Amino acid sequence: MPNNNPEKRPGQSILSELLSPQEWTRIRKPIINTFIIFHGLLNYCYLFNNHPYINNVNHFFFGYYTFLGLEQAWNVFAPGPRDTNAHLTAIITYADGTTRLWTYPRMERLDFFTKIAKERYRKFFNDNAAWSMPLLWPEIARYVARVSYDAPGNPPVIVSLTRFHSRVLPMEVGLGKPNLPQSEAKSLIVYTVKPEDLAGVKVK
Amino acid sequence: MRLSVILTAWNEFWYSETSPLSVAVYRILLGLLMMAFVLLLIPDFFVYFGSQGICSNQAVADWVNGRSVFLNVLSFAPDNDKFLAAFHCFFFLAALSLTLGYKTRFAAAACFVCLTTLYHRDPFIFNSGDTYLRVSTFWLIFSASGEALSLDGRAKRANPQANFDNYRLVSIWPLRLLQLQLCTVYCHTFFCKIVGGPWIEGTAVFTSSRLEDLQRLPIPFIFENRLIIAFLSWSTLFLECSLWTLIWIKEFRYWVIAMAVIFHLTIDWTMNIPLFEYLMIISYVLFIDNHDLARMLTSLRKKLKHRV
Repeated sequence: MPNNNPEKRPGQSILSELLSPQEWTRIRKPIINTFIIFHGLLNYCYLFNNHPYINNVNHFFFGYYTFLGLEQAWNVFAPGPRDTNAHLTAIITYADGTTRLWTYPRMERLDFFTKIAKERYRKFFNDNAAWSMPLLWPEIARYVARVSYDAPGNPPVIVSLTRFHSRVLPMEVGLGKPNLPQSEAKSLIVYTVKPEDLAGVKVK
Repeated sequence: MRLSVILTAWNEFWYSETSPLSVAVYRILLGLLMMAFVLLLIPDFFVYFGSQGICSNQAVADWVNGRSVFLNVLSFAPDNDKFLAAFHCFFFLAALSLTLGYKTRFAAAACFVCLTTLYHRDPFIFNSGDTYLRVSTFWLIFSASGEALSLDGRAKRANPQANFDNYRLVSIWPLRLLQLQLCTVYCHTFFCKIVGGPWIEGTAVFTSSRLEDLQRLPIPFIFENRLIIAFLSWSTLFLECSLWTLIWIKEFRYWVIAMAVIFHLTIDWTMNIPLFEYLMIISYVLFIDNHDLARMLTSLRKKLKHRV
């Protein structure tokens, strides 16, 4: 059906119902200017948060920013790249006293194509859980318990999570040498598995 | 300087008109990467987001101490894996729709909501590339990316087979937001790096090449030579500075873009950060002059016709 209204452009139908073209022309620039300046300043405050006043601004607009997921930071490898290699392992102790070792897909052990799809394990375990997110440790322990429950009547009772790591040698001494083995160990959590943690698990 | 000069410059920067071609090409490339993003999540989808996965809804709520309400469609049916699967199918269709330019603005908004939902369901698995994808999609909602190279635009054009440089002009401000978003990435990373330490000392590339979980394909000798490592570290700083400064100057623009493409492809060769490098590379199309882009597309179409 032909469009009989020459003023009505596609994509502007709702707007043209609410406002006349003249009204829209009059308020268009102020609205867009406000939108641009507001988001520009907010991004600046969020990215260059180096003053208590700026921190107050961020605190005030935190709700809006995080609701839309617009928070951003581009400080990866800054001020320098991380200088450690790390991985996590879990030891599962079952009700009958036996133990088993568990680890997630580690990038350095995967082939070219598999590691592309599995990269998020690296982000979750190596970048976040291994260092700065203690709240994730019981989450991981519960997950490990669920995926390791495979014999009826012999549920996992304890999951202990350990980080193994090593420092990257400084360039002055590290050139031409292989990385150190990830042999420094730190126990992160020893989690006692509760019956409700295993609820809904289908044991094979 | 007079205020009127500043206002004129402001108006010219934000309110002139331009062809929708570059933002349309960007939309198609972004849509393709978004489909790849959706597909790459599938093998371990329920591990990342499922009711029995590695991160519960409660953990995410605890992380922010209940300070904020999140845009998260999955919160309508928490821990419902069937709803989660249906949501992911919808996300793929929205990305496909964005790529084809069908109901483009709605598709962009839907993709943004889906990206934000997944981010809020498990923020601990997402990297900088995902953040860039999400924020860029937000700005794309406001653009007229559906006015060219799209099913929406095709229906409106009198002669869809015509040249690529005769589209109806559109407002430039959404394109400017997308361009500034790209510059923000490089500006922030530049200032975070020049505060001192390994990048200034020229050793940063050595350390990053030794991160075992990020390694993809090896480059022999390069990362074992002190001078090359220093050159690469300082070149990175120079290039990242150029990408928010010199890229605005027409005479330098294509040189900067060419260097940046090589830079990101090299990182992609050596480091396993899926999609991030390609997201940055496709964003350079936003800085290509529309006439040049039209010429490139015309030549591409001719070559394809010859082949067929």
